Amino acid sequence: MKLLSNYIKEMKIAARGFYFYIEIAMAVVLLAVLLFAISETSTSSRKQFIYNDMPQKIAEYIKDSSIDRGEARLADPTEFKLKPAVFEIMNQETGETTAYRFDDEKIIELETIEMLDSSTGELTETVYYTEAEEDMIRLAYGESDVGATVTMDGYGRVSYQYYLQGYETDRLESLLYISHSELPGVISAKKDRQVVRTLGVMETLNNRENLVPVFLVFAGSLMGFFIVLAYIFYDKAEGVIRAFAVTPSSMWKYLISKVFVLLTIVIVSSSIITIPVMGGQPNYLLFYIFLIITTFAMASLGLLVASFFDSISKSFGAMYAIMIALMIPAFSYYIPSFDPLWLRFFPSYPMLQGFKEILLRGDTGYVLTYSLIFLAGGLVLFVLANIRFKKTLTV
Amino acid sequence: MISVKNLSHSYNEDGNFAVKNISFEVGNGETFGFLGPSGAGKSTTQGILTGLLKLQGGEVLVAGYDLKKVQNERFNTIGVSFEQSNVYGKLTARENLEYYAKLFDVPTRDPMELIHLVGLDGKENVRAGEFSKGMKHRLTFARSMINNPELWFLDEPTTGLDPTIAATIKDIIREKAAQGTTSFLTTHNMFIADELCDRVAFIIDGEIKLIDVPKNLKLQYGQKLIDIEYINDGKIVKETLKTVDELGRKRIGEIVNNYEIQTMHSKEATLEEIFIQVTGRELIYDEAAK
Amino acid sequence: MIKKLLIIFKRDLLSTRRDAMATYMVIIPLILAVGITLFTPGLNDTTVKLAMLKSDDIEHIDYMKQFSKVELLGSVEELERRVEKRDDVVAIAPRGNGYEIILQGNESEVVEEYAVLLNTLFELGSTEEETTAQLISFGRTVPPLKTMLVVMLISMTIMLAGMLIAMSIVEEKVENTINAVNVTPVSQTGFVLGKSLLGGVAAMLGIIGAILITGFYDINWFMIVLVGLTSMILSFVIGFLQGLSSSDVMEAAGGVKLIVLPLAGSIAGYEFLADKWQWTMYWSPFYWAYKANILILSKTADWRTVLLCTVMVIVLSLVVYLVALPKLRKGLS
Repeated sequence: MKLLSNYIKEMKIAARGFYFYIEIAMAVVLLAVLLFAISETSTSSRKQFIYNDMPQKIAEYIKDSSIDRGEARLADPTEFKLKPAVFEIMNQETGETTAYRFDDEKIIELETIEMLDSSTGELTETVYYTEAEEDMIRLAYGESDVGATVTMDGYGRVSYQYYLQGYETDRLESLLYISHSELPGVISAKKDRQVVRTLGVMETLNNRENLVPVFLVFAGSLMGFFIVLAYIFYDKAEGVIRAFAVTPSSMWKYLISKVFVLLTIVIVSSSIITIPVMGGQPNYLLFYIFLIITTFAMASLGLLVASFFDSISKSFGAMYAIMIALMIPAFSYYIPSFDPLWLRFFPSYPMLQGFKEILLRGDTGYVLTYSLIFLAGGLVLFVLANIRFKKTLTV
Repeated sequence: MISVKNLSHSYNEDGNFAVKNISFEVGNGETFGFLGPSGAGKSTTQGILTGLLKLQGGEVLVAGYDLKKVQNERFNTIGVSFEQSNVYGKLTARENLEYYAKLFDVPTRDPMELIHLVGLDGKENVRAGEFSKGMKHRLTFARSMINNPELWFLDEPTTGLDPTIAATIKDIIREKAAQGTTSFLTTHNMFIADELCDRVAFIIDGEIKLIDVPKNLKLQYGQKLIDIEYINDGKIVKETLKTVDELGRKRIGEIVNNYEIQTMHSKEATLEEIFIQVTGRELIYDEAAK
Repeated sequence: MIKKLLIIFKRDLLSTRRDAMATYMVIIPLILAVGITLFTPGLNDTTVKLAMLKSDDIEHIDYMKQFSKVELLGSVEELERRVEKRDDVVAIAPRGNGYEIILQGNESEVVEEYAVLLNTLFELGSTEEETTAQLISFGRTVPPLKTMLVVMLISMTIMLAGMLIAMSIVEEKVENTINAVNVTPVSQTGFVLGKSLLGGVAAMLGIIGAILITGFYDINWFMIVLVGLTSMILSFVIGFLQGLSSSDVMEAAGGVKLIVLPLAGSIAGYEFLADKWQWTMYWSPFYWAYKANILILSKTADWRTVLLCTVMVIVLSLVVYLVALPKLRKGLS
């Protein structure tokens, strides 16, 4: 009964505050962004500027062959603005440098070929063909994209002169070198004989759906850490914790009622974001279990941090540092090759991966394992927070 | 109702004590005043008795409960009126009281009855955040009675309030005393203590200097004086004379017989004067100590 | 007025030194800058990750290490388990006289192609010496990702400076010290500026430190200081709007959260919208500040563009300030 009274009181206070509605409004805005601003297919693709320094017929033949095989399609010409620029280029092998200076500004229209994924038909790369080599070099510099001059020697061998920015890794440069060490036909024949085994047809999240775990973790559970902190400091400013402390009601009921309010807000806002985007695909039972447990864990962390400080301004540094630290795993989520072991110890890493598995109806074992870990962690943090709150009561 | 033996408390546990080895008892139904300037140790003592501060040293029994053991049910028997109002600004007066009532395991009073008692009729549905300082204080005071406490802790119950509201508060305290409620009142206002308390303790720098009934203190420490104002050569003259002194009595007689008396008042020593005499310190608000 | 402005600044400094908030405001961007410097090489390394058997031919392993990150495991089963993990790792295992490439099935085609190509080239015995490719470099050493991260850090620092000011104002309101100032000769404008100084100074120090730590020494410092100052104006306006329109910490927190939307939206708009749609972001001072910072840090900024961005930040901030002025005055009194 006391717990229910506390919860009702907290919900009344939250509902009469501005913040509660902002959370809901933010969820609606994020949903709108997902539905209307983010497409299901990824529009980010590589760009390359090419100058063909070979007989035109051969260049056309190469392009037409790709189009005929379904590996590319001809798109509308694209306009580019060439801006004034001054720079130097260096040949990596010879060390020879050449200076360029362009004072004019001009707009040019380039033939555009879109390279497609052979299995999905999705755009993977857009290639722009320039009429002049200098235009290609200028564009590669100005747009910070790869440029190349393609030539054919007397033996009919195609060679590439790549124009790179300079910050590419040695591995990438090695890859470019090695990719042109054999005739394309030779590579192609050998490639076709490579044995490729797929472990299973895996569902993947599309470009839009892929953002849902990010929103759930950062706008949901992580914000829970911050919200609980702010609510506690609000109560500290009002002095109501002392009034509560001189009643038969236990401190943990006061603390858990804060967590329940937060859970209410997070469940509502997360549902607003997830259900319209994912429809019936996810395992919703597991979804809400994981959401509740991770939010509880983050809220408990917020309670513990709040117990160390008297006001939000004093806690600001710790709060800011923790929030930034918890955001770091987002890099790994979007750049899978950046996946150091130490990153997996940040709570938001398994949270992101867990929500992804739930939305894909994937590895339930992973989700349940981390649910238990977060539940245990949350309970420990909650108990510690309870002890600290009782210990730091003052007159 | 309260038994305190050798109570000590150091906030930083570094040997600097806010309360040093104090002992006292409060009987059932008594209104006991704890008097001293800010920083004397009043709030610390009250904090320990109410359970806000952990008992570090000494033995304390409050309403039959040993404070060394954590027993939440003891809070059913006490009520606390805080010096700083601490009500929920976003809840109405009635909601504040209704919510607080639900935190107790004993029968509670009707919130509307308490609202009426403290003169907040018509404001029950107004959010406490919109209340004036005095109104918030009355609500905090009302809340302290919600569980019909046997033992009532009052921390500066009338400080900063206008005389009308202060008079209302004092009347309620007297009424509760008459009903048998034990009150532990902390204040630096000697006049309130004098008006309301059965016994007072003077505390300064964490130590109790004395405990006694106000009347006894006045008899013991006070000087019997009379202030007389009379007209002499067209001017009003004022003299303060001792009645215990032969010279004083003689002079009183001379004035009464020979001059036109304007005013004559017997003057008892105030508790404040007694406090200064006993402790050597004034009851001023000590900013540094706070 | 300057003297009174400095008095308010000193009071805030004293108050905040005790809270250490302004110190954190300076230190945390510096720590993040260190993090960016340490981790961007790893982020930039976007070649494929391979898993191979320890018992595989050492030549094969060494060959692959030239072009990709390689993890060595004990058995095919372990390789399969590794591939099944969340990240994009492709396994290459000996099978019969050749090799098989093991995929999970949800990798992008680029990753699959890399792995297939690399193994093909190994089997062909290809070496870099036989290449017909030539590499020409523009000599840039800073990856765009790093530049973007640093500029995002700058934007975040500005927003947090605004939050610092907002919290400071709310603190004054809760403690009712605002009214005390209203009955002094300090003008409301002077009060506004005095309170903003601390947040602005902390932000500027953090930004300059972060830029230096991440190695951007040879940028045009006049430009960055100019943009920094105009960004400070932006943070002043945010902070005051939030602080004065909020009656408590929760409302201030909510207001700051609302500000994150136009900030994030402006960054996303600049990075992802096509040139013809960039005009849709022109209303946002965050957009102009971000644009200027990106151009300055990537050393492609000219004074005309920087001045345009600066003017837009100032004008838009002033518009917001003037529109909100009645509310600001009400909140101050």
